[in-house]
Amino acid sequence: MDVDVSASTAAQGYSLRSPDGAPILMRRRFMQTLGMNVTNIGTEQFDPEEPWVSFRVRLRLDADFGVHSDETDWADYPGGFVPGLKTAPVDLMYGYLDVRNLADGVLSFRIGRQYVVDPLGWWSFDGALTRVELPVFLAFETYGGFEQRGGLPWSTPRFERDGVWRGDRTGLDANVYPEFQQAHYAPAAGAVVESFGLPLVHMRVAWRKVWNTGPVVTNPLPASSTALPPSSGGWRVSSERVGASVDIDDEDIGSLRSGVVYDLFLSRLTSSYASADAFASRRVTVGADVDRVVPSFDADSIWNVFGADPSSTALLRADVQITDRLDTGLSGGARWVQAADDTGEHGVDGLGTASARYRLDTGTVGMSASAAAGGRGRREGADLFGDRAIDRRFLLSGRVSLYDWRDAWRPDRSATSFGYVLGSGYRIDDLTEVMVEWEHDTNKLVGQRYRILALLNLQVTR
Amino acid sequence: MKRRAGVARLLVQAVVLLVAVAAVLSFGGRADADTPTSPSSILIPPQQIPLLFDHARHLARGIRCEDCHTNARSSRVASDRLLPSPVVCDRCHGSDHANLDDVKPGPQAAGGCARCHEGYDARDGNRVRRVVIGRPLLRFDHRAHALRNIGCERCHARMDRVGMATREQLPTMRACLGCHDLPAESRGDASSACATCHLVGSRGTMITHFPTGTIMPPAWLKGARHGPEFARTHGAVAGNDSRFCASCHTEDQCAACHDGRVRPRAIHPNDYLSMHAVDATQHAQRCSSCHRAESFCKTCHLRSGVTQSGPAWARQARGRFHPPPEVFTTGPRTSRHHAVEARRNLSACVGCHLERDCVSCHASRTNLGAGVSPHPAGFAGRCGPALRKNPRSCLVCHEPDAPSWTRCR
Repeated sequence: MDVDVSASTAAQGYSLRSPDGAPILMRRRFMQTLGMNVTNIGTEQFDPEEPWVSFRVRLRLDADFGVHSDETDWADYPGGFVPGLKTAPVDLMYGYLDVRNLADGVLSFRIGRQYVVDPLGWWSFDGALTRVELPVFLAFETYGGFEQRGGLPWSTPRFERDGVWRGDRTGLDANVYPEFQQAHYAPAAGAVVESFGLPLVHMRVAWRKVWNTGPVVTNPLPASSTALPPSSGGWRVSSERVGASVDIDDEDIGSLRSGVVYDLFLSRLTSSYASADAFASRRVTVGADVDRVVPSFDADSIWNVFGADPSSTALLRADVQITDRLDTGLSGGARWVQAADDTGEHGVDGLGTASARYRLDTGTVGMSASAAAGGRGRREGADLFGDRAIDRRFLLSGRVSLYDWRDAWRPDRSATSFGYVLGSGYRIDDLTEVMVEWEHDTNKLVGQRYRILALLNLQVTR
Repeated sequence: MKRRAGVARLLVQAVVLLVAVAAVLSFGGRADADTPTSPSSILIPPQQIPLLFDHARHLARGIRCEDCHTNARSSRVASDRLLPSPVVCDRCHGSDHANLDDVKPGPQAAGGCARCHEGYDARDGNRVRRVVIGRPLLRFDHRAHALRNIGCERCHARMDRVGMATREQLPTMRACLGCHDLPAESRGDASSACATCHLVGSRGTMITHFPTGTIMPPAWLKGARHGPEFARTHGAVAGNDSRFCASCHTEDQCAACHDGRVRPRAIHPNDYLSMHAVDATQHAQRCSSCHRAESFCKTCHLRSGVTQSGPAWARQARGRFHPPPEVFTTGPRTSRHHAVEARRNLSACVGCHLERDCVSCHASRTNLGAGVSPHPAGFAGRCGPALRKNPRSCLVCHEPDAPSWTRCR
């Protein structure tokens, strides 16, 4: 059995000014994670064909000591209160028991808070997931539990569908921000069919359904300041979607990827993509990407019933490995909205990126440039960056950046900005290091913006 | 003029800093010497084999591989020394390596020291140059392959044309997968899982960082080469086969960006706090791969007074974010009208607006709105199923006994 305990700490200090000059928010952020991995339980080491048991857990404190007490205390400062804002929230990022390859490799399962990555995106739930691998190129996964939701203990809102302002309303009067909904447990279930071990092709089809429970305010405009906002309750769909993806890879020719997501609540295809890579030579890959997205939200959200047009993006790209140390990439294309009405004035945005990276024995130097231009504005600029480890212990990093952006709607918010980042650190071993970075950005909007970032990563292994 | 001078000054500063950073960081760099058909120089480090040997000649004389590589068929780990002991050579060449401090050459020319030891000079105290073969950073079981009757030539191809064998005669990953990618009936128990060959750390993921370098997947392996564009394209690879990613990566690495609390500068460069509005107004949907508008965006917008609702103190100095009302709200539908903008980029609206901002106009008059329908064309014909699954969004704007409600049902 192996045990390792690791901690990462990031302290950041910077200020954030409203576009209108005031207020100025002082961010004094302190983020710390503490994790433990207990692996190889009952075994010597990991073998992909043998039973393997592990337990992983990680907690996170994400504090901002720049938050004023009048922003979080509704009872004493109702005029300054910001719903959902916490000074020092703690969440359990993940914590699960992972058992693999039981019954001659057929059965695996996970129990606890865990992430799921599939064609429907990146998601987290509390519950159990079972995977069965059949000897006929097919695997089945089923899972059930509760979606991780902000406002519930030890949770963040990162993984719930967008479109509903939700959190912990404890102590808040019903008439204050009635559209800020109380979070309730959200039962969830899903199933996946996946191919494995097939030559050339890999497919994955995923279905997931999440339910909302508990009362929900149905009108944010109460009839009077003393009237309770109307609400309804009961089990109802939060989201129900099916996603499918297919990858076809040929080691000599290239690869083809495609995927779709169908929203069963909206009865609408909400996302699709296709991507093709061709290996023009060992060092040159050229490709094309097309995707189409329709905004979709939690079924409690009013924005689901608003008209929304699909936006599509098409990009051509080239990835050239000039030497084994020098990588370059180039992409360019357009994004447009397929207008459903007769205005036809949704416009086309042009997009482009260029990047290069040179790997040294003990570091990297590179550049990254991007440009986007359309009816709402444009931005273009480039970063030059590098990092180096001296004697594998002393770390140096640097970045210079020049960007120019034009906001077509608010020309006064346009600027040319120059910034640089200088960092140095000390590495004790591969996973234990301390790093301090200084960032300085200068432009006419903020004058001088300074940011200090201190990072400390620690790991102890037994 | 003043602006142009300012830009020029910034450019000069950028170039000076670039040169300084590049000079510091590039000191000591050197080019790699990998070739297309060679195994990884990181996992199988370059060797030093100062010997003269001709495999082709030996094989032509009917000498079998195992006659010299006596341990090969029983070897279980990649770090086993499978180069023949010089004593094996003695059997044919008449030399005597039994005592390496007192090696005796054979009686004929074929047994002379210089015949095998490159650069041998008898005047140099009978010394020979050292053979240096680094430990391969892989798992390999020769015995398991031999037991499946897989001959040496299957992996070490065309040795009958090779003189001195080096790391160049070791199989590449692609050659290994030629068999290990086959169905179980053909390849046996050892699947194409990365951990079949690669070293695995205590967390069950591949060890990728070595003193000799960092290994990353080649382009032909599921199109997953981690080139400069991979940050943008990796989502399709991960969504379809996340277990492949999990061979090397833990969830911490996904969370660092996708649930990140520290801004990744490679994604959000420069003064992104000031610049992000341009990106969001162009296509906010893209932000959702890492940010949830209702929590991440809205909380900060409420605090900084960008929103229409929110704390009074934050809104005291608030200006207007959108074009003037006669263009954005009350005027004819042009590309700058909010109806067009919402249809084009609805996700951006969610990052600032509370329900009440929209409902005050779009709710039915009985629900204290102005009765302006936000629904797209044809909505009435397809709203029924959604209403049955979750009526909440309907209830926000419509009374349950309204005629429209009945029609939907």
